[in-house]
Amino acid sequence: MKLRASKGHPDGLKVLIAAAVSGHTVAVVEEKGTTPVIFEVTEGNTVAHLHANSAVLYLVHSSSLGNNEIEELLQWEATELKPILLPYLASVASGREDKTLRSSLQGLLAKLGNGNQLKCEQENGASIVLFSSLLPLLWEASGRSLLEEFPSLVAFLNTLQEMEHFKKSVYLWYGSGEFTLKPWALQLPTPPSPSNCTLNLLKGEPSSPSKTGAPGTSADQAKRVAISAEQISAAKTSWQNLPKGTNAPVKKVPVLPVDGETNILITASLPYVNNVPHLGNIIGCVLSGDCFARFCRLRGDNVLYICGTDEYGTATETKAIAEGLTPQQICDKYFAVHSEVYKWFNIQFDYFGRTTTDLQTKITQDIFWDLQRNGVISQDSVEQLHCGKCNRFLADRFVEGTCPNVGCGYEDARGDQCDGCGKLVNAVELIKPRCKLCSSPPSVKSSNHLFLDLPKIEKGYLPWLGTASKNWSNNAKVICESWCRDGLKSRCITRDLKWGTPVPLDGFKDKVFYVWFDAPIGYVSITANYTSEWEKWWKNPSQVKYYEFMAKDNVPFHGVVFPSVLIGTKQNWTMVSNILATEFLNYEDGKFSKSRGVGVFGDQAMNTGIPSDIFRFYLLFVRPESQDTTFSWVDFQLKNNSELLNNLGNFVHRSLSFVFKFFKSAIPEAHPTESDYQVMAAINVELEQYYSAMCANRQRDGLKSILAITKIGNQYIQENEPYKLIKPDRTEEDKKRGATVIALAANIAALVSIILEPYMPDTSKKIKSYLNDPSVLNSLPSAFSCFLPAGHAIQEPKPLITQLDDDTIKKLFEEFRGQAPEKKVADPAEVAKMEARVAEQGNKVRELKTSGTAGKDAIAAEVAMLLKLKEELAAMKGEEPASSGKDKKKKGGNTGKKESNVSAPSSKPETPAASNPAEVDHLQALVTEQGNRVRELKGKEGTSKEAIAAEVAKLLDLKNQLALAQGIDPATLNSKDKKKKKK
Amino acid sequence: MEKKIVSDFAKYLGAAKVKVASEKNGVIVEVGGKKFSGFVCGVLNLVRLQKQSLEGSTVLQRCLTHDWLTQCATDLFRCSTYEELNSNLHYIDKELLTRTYLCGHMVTAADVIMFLILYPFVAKWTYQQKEILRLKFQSVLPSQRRTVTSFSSSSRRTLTLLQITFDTLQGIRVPYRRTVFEYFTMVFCCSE
Repeated sequence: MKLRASKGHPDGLKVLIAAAVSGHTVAVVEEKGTTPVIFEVTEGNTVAHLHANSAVLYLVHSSSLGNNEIEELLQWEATELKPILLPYLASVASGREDKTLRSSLQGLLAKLGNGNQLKCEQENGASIVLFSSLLPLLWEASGRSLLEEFPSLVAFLNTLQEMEHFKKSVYLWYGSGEFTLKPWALQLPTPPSPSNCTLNLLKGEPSSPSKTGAPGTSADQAKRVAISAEQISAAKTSWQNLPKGTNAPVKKVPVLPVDGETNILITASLPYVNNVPHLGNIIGCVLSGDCFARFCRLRGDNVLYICGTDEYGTATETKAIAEGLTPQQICDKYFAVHSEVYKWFNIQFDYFGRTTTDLQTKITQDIFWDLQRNGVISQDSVEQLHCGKCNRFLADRFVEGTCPNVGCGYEDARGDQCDGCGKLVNAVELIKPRCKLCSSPPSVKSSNHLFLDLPKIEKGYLPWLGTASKNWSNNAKVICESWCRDGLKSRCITRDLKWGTPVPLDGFKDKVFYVWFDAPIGYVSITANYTSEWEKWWKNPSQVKYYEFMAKDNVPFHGVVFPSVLIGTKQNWTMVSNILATEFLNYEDGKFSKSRGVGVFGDQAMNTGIPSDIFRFYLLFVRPESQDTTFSWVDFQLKNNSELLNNLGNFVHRSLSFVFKFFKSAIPEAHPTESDYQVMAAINVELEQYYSAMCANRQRDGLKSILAITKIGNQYIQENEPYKLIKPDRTEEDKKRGATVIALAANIAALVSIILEPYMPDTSKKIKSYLNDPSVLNSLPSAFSCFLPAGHAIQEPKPLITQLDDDTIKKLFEEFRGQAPEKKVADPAEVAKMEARVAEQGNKVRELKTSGTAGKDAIAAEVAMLLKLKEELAAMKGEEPASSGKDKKKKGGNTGKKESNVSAPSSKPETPAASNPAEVDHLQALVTEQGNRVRELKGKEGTSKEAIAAEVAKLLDLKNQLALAQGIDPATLNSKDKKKKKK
Repeated sequence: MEKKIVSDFAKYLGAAKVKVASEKNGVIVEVGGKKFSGFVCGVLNLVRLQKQSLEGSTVLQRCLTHDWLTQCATDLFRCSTYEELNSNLHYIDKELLTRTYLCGHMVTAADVIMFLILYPFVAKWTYQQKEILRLKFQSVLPSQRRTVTSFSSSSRRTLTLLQITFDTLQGIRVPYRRTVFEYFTMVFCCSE
C-alpha cells in the first residue's frame, strides 16, 4: 500500500490515521505540486487508486463501509466542506483571512457542531476524516477563534488528538513542535466550486453564478450569453444595412467560365444506364452534387453541373440480350428513366447527357492518340475464353464450369470464383467450361490488348496527388494513397466486346475501350455536347475549380486512373480539385437490392405520394459522410414530423400567419431592442456555420444549422408571445413590442427560404412565393438582415409540411421490404396435406438428430428435403418468403445454430434444424454480393492483402451462416459431397 | 445536473417508486420510505436497495465505486470550462488503461453513471469531429492504440471509447435503456 501525497495535505493524514487504526503499514511517496492525494492498493495483480475518503473507508471498512451515517459525513466533507475549507486555510496562511469564506465556513460548522453526529471513536471513518480536515484550523489564531464558537467541535478534536493512533499519525505527518499552515496550505489546489455545472458547457454558457440573470432563464437565453458584444453590434449593423436585391440571375446558356469570377465545374459520377438508381445511388452522387451546385449558385458563383448516363459495357449487352432489345434501345429506354427520376428529385443539371455519342468517340480517341504518342500505351497478350457459337469473348462472369480447385469439384463454379469452396478461379482453368448464355463449350484464345502504362505516368501523378488530395474527402484520399502505396501497375484498357467506344489503333479495331477508361471521359464529351466551347471548362485549370461527387467505390478510377490519363496526354487539362466521396447508404437492416426488391428505387419514390423535397431532406440528413448510414422508414417519419413539421414548417407558417392575420398581410414596423439583437447575433453564428459547412461539403452540418435557426425562431416566438402582446387591450408599448417580434420572425423565415434552397428547392420556392418573391431572396446574405422592410406585403401562407402517419409509413415499409410473389388462392385441403408432410419430415429430422447415430450427410439430406417441403408450403400459402426472416439481423461470426433457426415460417412446432427459406435466400444473396466484392478487390491492382483477407473472412463467415441456415453443419462444408442445392 | 443523472440512473435500474428531488445542498433520493441526501449516498443506497451487485463484490470494488461517485460529485460535475472537463477525462483515461471497467473487472454503478454523464457530450459531436476520431483510431494497429499521442482536445482513450459507443448507439432510439448500457460495456471490453 502506498500513499502518494504532497507534504502536509490533510487528506494524507486521513489515510495515515486510518492505516494506523486498522493496523496497516503504508509507504509514503511524496509528490510535488498540486496532484490530489492518492492511495494505491494492490490486490491480486491489479493496482487500484483511491482518493482519501474512499481510502479511509477501505482501511476501516468493517466499521464504516455501508454505514450510511458515516458515508453521509464523508460526502458532506468532500462536496461541501472542502471547497470552502481549503481556500479558507489558504487565505489564513497567506495572512489575509477571507471573511466571506469565514462566514460560509461558520454556517457549515454550525451544522456539524450542533448535531450529535460526531463520535470520538478511533475506528470510525467520519471521525478520521473530519478530524484530519479540521485539525489545521486549530493552528492559527483566526481559525482557532472560529472553531471556538463551537465548543463541541473543539472538544471533539482535542479528545481525538490525544488518542494513540491519532497522535502518532499527526506526528508522522506534520512532525513535532510548531504546527503551521504555511508550507502546504498555499499549495493546495482549489476544489471546483459546487455552483459549477458541467452540463452547462453544452449550452455554451460560461458557468458563472455571479451573473445576476433573472432566475429561471431559459436554455435559449443561456445560449445567448455566449454571444459577445462585438457580435451583437455586428448584428445591429447588418440588420440596419438592407442588402441590395439582385434580380433572379438570368441564366445564360451555355454557362461558360468568366474571367475574374469563381468558376465551378461539378460532375456527379455517371450512373450506369442499365438499372434504375436507388436512393443510395442518388444521395451518393447526383443529390450531393446538386446540393453543392445550388449552394454555389446561391452565393453567386458561375457553376456548370454536368452528369449523364454511362451506357457502354458488358452489362448493357447482357441486359439487352435479356430484354430482347438492342443495346442502343436499352440505353434509350433507361436514359429516359434516369432523366425522369432526376427531374423529379429536382436535380438541377446544366446538362444531363450520355456516353453513346460521336463526341465521346472522338474525344476518347483523341486522348488515346495523345497517350499513344507519349509512349504510355503498351501491348500484351491475354488468354481468354471465346465462345464460338456466340462469337464473343466471355467475360469471367459469363463462363461456368467445374471448380478446378483440388477437393472441390463444384459444378457450377463461375469464371472468377467458385461459390462451392469460395476460392478464386481462373476462368481458363475451369474444368468443362461452358458459356453461360448458350451452354456450349468455349475455347481458349489469346488476344492482344492495350495497357495504360501507369508506372510511366506515376512520376507526374504522385506529386499532383500530394497537393490535390488535400481538399478531398478523407476516404477518397485514403483510397488513392493505398492504391499508390505499392506503386501503380499497368491497366488493361481494352476489351473484346462490341458495345463500346471503338479502339482506333490498327490491329485493335475490333475491340472497344474498357468502360472505366472512357467513362470519366464522358464528363468531357457530355460537356462538349452541351457547348462547342467545352475547352473553356476543360482546358482551363487556372480559372476553373473542378468538384467530383461519387460514392467511394468509384474513387480509384476518378482519383487515380482518370487523372493519370489526363496527365499522360501532356495537355493542359482541368484536373479535379475536390473529390467528395460518400460511404454507402443501407436500407433498413440490409442493402438495397433490385433483384430482391429491397429498398426504394428512384421511380418508386416518385409514386409514394411523398414530395421529393422530403426525400431530399432526409437523404441529405443521413448523408453517409463519414460512415455508412441507413435509410429507415421509421426514422424518415420521425425526422419529417419532428424536424421538418414541428420545427421548420411550424416556425415558418406561424411567423407568416401572424403577419397575415394581425397586420393585414404587411410586415409591421420593427424596433429591435438589445435582446432582439442578441437573437440576431445567435442566428448569425449559425449562418456562418452553415456557410463554412457548405463550402466544405459537410452537408449534414449545413442542414443542422438551418434547423438550429428555425429552432431559435421558435424559441423567440415562444418566449415573447407576440400574439398576446398585440391584443387590443394591451398597452401601446406592448403592441409595438409584439409588432417587432413578428417582423423579426418573418425576416427569419425569409432567411430560411434562402438557405434552404440547396436542400429543399420546392419548399424554398413556396416560402418565397408567400413572401411575394422579393429579389433580395435570390442570393446568399453574409448576415441576418431586414430582408422584408416594414410595409412589405405577403401572401396567405399555407402549411409547408404534411405529417406522415404511422399507417402510411407501415405501408411503405411493407411495400419495399422485399419481393412478394403473386398470391395464389391455395386449396385448403392441399395446404393441410402439405403441412402434414412438413410436420412429418420435421419429426424425422428431429429423430435423426437426437438419435446421435445418423451421419451428418444423412441429416443434411433430410433437412434439405424438409426445406423444400416448407418452401412449397409457403409458396402454396402465397406467403412472402422474405417476411419471416426480416426481423433477423445478420450478426457477427457467432450466429449459432439455434439463432438462425428461430423463426421458421410454418406455424408447426419448431423443428430444431428447420431452416427458413427466406433467411437462406437472404444469406445466399449476401454471399453472392460478398463474393462479387472479393472478386472485385482481387481484380484490382493495389488492393492490400489484408483488405482482401478481411473481405474473404467476411465471405466465409456468411457462408457458414448460410450453411447453418440451411441446416448444414459448416464443418461438413469442406467435405466433398456438400453439394448445395441451388434452385 | 445531479438530479438529472440520479433520475436517469433510477430509470436505468428500472426502479419504481423512487423520488428524486433537488434541494439547496444537493439531491434527495427517496426510496423504500427512506430519504438519502447527496449524490454519493443517494446513488449508493439506490444500488444497495435495487441491485446490490452494482456496488461491487469485494471491499476494494465497493470502495472504488464510492471513490468514483465521490469524484463525480466533487469534480466531474463541477467543471466550468472544457479544460477542466478534459483534465478529468485524462484521469479516467489513465485509470482505464489497466482495467476493463472503472472498478475492476465487473460493471458497477460507476460505469453507468459515467456513461450517463458523458453521453450528452458525445451526442453533441459533429460528424466531422467523429470522423477525425474514427480515423485517428483506425489508422493505428490495435497493439499501438494505447501509445498514440493523445488527442489534443481531450484524452484519447475515453473519447475513442465513447466514439465507438456512439456509433453503436446510433440505431437505438430510446437512450438510457439497459441494452444501451450493454453496448456501452461491450465497448469498454472491446477497447481493452
